Amino acid sequence: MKSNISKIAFCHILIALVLCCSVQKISAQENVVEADSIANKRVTKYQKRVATAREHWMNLLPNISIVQYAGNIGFVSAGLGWDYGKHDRWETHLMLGFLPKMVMNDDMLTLTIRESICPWEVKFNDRFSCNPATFSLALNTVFNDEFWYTETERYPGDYYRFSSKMRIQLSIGGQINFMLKDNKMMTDRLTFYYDVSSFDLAIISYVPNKRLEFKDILALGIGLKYKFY
Amino acid sequence: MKTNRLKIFLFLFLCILTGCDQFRYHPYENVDNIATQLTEKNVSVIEKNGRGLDTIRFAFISDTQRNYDDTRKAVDYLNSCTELDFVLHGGDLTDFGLTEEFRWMTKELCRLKHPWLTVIGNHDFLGTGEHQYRTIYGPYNYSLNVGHLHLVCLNTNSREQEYSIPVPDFHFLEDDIKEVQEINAEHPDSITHTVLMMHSCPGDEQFNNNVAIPFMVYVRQYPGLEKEASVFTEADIESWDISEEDKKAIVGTFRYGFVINGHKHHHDLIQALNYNCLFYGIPHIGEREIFYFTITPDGFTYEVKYF
Repeated sequence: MKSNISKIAFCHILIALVLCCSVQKISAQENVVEADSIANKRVTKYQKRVATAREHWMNLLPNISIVQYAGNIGFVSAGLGWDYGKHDRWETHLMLGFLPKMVMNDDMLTLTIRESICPWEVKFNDRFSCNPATFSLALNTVFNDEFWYTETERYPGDYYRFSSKMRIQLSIGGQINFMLKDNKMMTDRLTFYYDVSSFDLAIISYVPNKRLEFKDILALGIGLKYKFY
Repeated sequence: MKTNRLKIFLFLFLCILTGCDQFRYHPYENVDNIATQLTEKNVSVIEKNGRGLDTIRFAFISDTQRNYDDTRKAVDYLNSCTELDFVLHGGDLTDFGLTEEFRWMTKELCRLKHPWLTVIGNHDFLGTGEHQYRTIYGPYNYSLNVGHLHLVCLNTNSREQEYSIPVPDFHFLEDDIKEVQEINAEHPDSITHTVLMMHSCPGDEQFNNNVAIPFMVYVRQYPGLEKEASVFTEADIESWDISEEDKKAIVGTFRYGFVINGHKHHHDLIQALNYNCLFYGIPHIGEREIFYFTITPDGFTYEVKYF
């Protein structure tokens, strides 16, 4: 019963994410039309202010849809993202992950917030390009009763000195971009990316032990990003 | 030219992706590709080898969490010991209960040439570790007979579980004691010694100290720990190669039964609650100590080995 509810909740959130992105796309088109009409007529101060305000609010809308497989944030994760900064090289992702019951325990849901930057871009041709390196930092949490942020009252003070619920993840990856449409105003971009990550507790375990190999603490994830401009 | 470069790039990329099995879903995912039901497998080996043995030798290590280097050295040392029937691990295989930690530690311990058993430690309960432990090792409470020795392995991490789950499990103890007594009624004196392995002992902050005395009352029903069982005198242990402090602690304790425990991370021999039953508390693996017990028909000997 419990896992059923979480499955239903997960489906709802997925649908919401898809809707959110499509609404965003429609409103982006409207915005273009409005900008044209403003240019044709005499622009009042008020209209200008409304236009700027709208533009600012538009920036708050996410413009990236993401689907990821593995990568220590769930079996499959979906989410949305925002890009900003010079050449839109900075991105913030908000992802919801699903970890199905594999051997024991219940299905689990995870939530991840990820900040990433891709400092370099290599263009192959008009359509294809790649970012040879992306660096990201992510915070990941899990919705499950067995985990805690701070030790529950059943423990005396400072018993374990870590949080089982919150993971900090560091990752390096790369991506290949493909422009879907090439008219000047609207260009959607499909990105395939991979992401090699490790997390705080794994790094803590790795450091004092020569026996552990570096590859032991790495986790691979792959995903697709769809970016609306 | 450009498309060629792209094709090569894509090809290399796919090669990298398909070439490795590094996909991980979550630090606390439950997997069954590490090992399954190791306890059951090892119990059957130990029971088979132990049939009819008079002298039983076993080594005890504990608290190997996040110390893979020293664990490897301990395993190498134990593998070099030829006169050893089995190895016991007192719990805390992991520090955070992570799936990968279970993978690393199980891999290290599986290098042991001797059959080995473990109990669950409090750290192994963290996150989804308890489920992972159950998948890899099996039940939290179990017992076996090795020759004339009855070995009981108990989960005593009361603080990690809600009170709806009984820890320590008196139902298990009751059934187990009944079983041993039935065997002894059928074949008198076939089981004379009892060793209990647990992670935390009565008096620890992890133990449910509300039931410490009832627990001892139950434990004292095992063969070798009953009231009339004989105790060690100073003359008995004079020749043992151990420190004076250990000798002092051992005098006056049962010679046919004892408890081994981990958790405290320091060398610690105590008579819990002033019963004559001795608790051999082993330090964590970083202290590089191994407790080595030899069970003989008229008692047992205890040694500390440094590796």
